[in-house]
Amino acid sequence: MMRFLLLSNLVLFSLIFSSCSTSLHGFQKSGVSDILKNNSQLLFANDTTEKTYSTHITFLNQSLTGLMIVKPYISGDLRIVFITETGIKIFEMGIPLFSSRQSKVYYCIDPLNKKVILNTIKNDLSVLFMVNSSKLQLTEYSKKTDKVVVIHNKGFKRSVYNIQNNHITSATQQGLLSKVCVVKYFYLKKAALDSLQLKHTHLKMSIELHLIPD
Amino acid sequence: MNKIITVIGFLFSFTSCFCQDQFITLKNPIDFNNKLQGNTLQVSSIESSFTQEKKLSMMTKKLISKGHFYFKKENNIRWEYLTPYKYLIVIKNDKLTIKDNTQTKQYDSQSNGLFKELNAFISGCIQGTILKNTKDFSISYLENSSLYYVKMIPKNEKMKKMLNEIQIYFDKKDLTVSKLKMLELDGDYTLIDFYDKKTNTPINDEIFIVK
Repeated sequence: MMRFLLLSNLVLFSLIFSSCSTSLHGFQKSGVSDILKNNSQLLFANDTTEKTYSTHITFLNQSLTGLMIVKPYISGDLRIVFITETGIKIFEMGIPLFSSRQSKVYYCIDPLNKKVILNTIKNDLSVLFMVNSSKLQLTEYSKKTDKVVVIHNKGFKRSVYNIQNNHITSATQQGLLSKVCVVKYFYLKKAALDSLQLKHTHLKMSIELHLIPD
Repeated sequence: MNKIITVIGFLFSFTSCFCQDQFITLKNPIDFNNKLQGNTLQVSSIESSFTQEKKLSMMTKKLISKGHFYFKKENNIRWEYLTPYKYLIVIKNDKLTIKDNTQTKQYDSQSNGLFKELNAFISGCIQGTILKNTKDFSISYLENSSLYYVKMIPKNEKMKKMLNEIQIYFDKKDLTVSKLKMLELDGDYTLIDFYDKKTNTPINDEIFIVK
């Protein structure tokens, strides 16, 4: 019985360890990252003009398209509005850079105005846009020009961002036992962020955003 | 002295221009409604280009999209955004089809409550029949030299949570909808401006088939 308990604990620990481990082969821990301190909006290269993304959200077998307007502030905070192509507002929220301040939902249409849905949306947008993180819990690893920034979110969650030449290329949010979601970033001519793609690993949910040029 | 006169003259001309565009309460809304109803009976088709302007308080610029619109009696509508994104809504025989970049989806607008309302709202605005809906809206009528302006305040609780006011502007020349403005609770709005309008021109039925 004792042997079984030890074995099951060992399996559980190794499972947790393996799921939360980041591929950091060859990377050196460079300490607490100040990447957001120096460049509060890494994704938008400190450009505070609003960006409009053609958006496609799928959840189970349902899908919703629309326009996501993202306004980055110099503080690093984001204001995000999602509207349908015909102009009907679906939700509007403010997500602060640091978790010491709460995200705020300014508006949400009735069918989506449920705590579980709003928390999932807030979490996904926070991971997508690298916000709502605690400055003190940012750990940085580096290898030549490549960096990995680990952001410790609430509870056991943490987000891991892969950064190459100051551009975020991918991200993963990991929970206690497994990956929550995976994000890929695509850039236009290696400069402006062109599209983002988030996929949940256990939930049949994904968000795709494509920049609509001005 | 001449300069002062010029400035005063300019101010007066500006004020008088402004006054010309001011809307005043329409004296006889029943007469307008009758004219609109008569016009609705005569119009068998409408084709128009449109510009949609979305104003969000957080945005420094307005979000502008452009497209084309077709209406053919009894209830065939093609509402198509062409730039800066592609999006198509087609209503034909109570079937509502939406086509975006990724897929085409069809809904039965009669069995789906939301789409039934959407269908009634779009066709009601185009044909002016929405003005008969005094159950869901408080309606007031105004006019200026070129437009009739109908202000609709939602009474329906569900709609009140989304919209503060709907403004429909009808061209006095042909009684077609010239502008449609939907104001949200926080002051954000959607303004649709119709131009290059053609009425009663032949429209091929194929326009209302989504390929």
